[in-house]
Formats: sequence, C-alpha cells, structure tokens
Amino acid sequence: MKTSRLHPVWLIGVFVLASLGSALGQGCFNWMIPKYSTYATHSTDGTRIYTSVLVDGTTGGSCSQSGGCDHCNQIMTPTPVHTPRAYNKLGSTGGWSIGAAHSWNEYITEENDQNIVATHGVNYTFNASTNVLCSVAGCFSCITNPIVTLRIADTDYIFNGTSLDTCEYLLYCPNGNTAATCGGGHDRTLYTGLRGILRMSELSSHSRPGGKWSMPLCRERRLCKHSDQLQLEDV
Amino acid sequence: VSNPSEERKARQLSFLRTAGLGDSDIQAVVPVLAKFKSQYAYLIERYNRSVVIAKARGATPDVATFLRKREELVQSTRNALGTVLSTNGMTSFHAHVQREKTRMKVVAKEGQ
Repeated sequence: MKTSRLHPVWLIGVFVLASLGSALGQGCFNWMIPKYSTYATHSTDGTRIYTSVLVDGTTGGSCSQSGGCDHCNQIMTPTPVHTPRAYNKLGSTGGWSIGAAHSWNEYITEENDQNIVATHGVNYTFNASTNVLCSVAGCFSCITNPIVTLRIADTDYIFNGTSLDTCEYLLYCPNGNTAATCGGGHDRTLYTGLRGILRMSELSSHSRPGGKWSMPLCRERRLCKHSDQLQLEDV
Repeated sequence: VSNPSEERKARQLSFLRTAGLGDSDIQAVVPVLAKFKSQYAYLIERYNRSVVIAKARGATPDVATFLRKREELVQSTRNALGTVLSTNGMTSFHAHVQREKTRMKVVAKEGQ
C-alpha cells in the first residue's frame, strides 16, 4: 500500500501562507504605499511600428503595530521583494518582460520595447499591461490598458500654393469630400519648394471597439515640413 | 545609450519625428536625452544603495530627497532642451509631451 507523504517544502509553504493569511486578513499590507507610473506609447517611421511599455517607481510606508499590523516580523522576514513586469504585445510579436527583483522599497523600472515591419493599411493590435509583483502581497499596482488597434495610414496632400516662406498643402481626398474640416495647420518650416502631391505615412489608432480612425477623409490644411521630403511622391 | 543599437536609433528617431522635430533639432536633442537617461539611472542606483544602507541601520530611506533630485533633473533637462532646440522645435516637443501624458498613468501620488 502506498503511503502518502507531505513534502516538507509544501508544509513550510502552507505554514507561511497560513501566517500571511491572518496577516492579510488584518490589512497588514495597507501600510505599503505604491508610487508607480506606467507609460504605453507607439510610433512609426513609415516602415515599422514601434511600441514601448514602461513601469517605474517605488513603494513607500513602514510596517508597524501602531499602523494596524501585528505581524510585521513575519511579513518583513525575509524582506519582501518587488518585481516589475511589462507586457507589450504588438500583433503576434512580444509578451511579458520581467525586470530584476528588488527590496520592496527600492526604486524599480522595467521597459519592454517591440517593433514590427508593418504593411500599410493593415491593422495591428497593441496590448499593454504593467504590474509589480510583491513576494508577499501578490500583484501590486496592476494596470491593463485598453487594447489599441494601429495601422500605418497613407494620406495624400496636394500643393495649394505658397505664402511668404511657407508652402501649404490640403488633404487630397479621392472621394471628393472637402466639406468637413479637421485639425488645422500643423508645423511650419522654411519653404522648400515642394510641389505636387505629398504622401504622408502616419500612425492612426483607436482604442474603442468600432471606434473611428483618427485620420478621417476630410479637408485638412497642412504646412510642409522639411522632413516630409522623405515621403514625397512623384507627381 | 552611448552605443545604441541600430534598432534603438531607429526607434528614437521615429519617436522624435513624431514629436515634430526636424533633422537639426533631432541632432541637438539626442545627446541631451542620453545625458538625462544616464543621470536618471545613476540617481536610481544611488537611491537603491541608500535603501540598503538605511535597512542595515534600521533607518527609513530618504525617498523625498530622491524625488526632489529627480524633479531637479527633469527641470535641468527641460532647460537644456530649451537651449539647444529651435523655438518651433521646443514648441512641438512640449506639445508632444502634453499629448503623451494621456498615455501615462500614476498609480499613487509621489511623496504620499
């Protein structure tokens, strides 16, 4: 007959969990003050889409009986550690990145960068989350951002004349929709003699299911920029 | 950032162009940002060392001083950007930072 044995590590684990359970039940982690920031952003150079997800910060506070915790020795031995984690999934690329574990009140930071070569006009999802995992309190400072859909949008602008040292372009709408207006003038630099149709590759995004893209078919005034020459399309 | 990979260079260029900076402004801003990054990393490293020392002494680490120095670093970097960027470049950069703030989340107030 096979005898059932309990593994000592499991027993220790149960004991620790039971102790922490009573500590948690008494709000023994309320004294920890999370001070974390997260940042999720994206960009394009017309060929690739770049995304970054970052978490950064520390935890303040101090465990004390007067603070309502009778189990500080149990909680603080060994010293709890915090591990920053950042999730960056762009299309089918990426996932979690896990930073170094540090003592709970040290300053921690983790950045997860991804990029893909993107086909113009094709949608890619950008999924970003961050959290800090506390060795005794579990998921700490957990943030999940709404899923964002990204695509590189090609938009044509047509030359509309010059004024002093600037040239002006209007959004070139193949469907003839010029009644609506959006935005207004963008940046301005010295006149560079651009003519014809200027093709801009810009990143459009929306984060709501069924939401509209930020690059509508409408009339938009745009002043030329030096860097736009790189996107110039022959007439 | 002293020897960034090609991917990191391309990434940085993409984000700086998105911020509305032209070629000359980008050339000027890259070393300022590199200096910020290295000084920020140094501040963090120094603070984390102070946490270890404070723990050994049974003291509380001085997070307020760290946060003040971090704020000073941000301010001095902004001043440096104002010096090296064109007027239009600084305006675009500032507007970009304001837009990007919608993508930043703070879990709790610093210095709470």
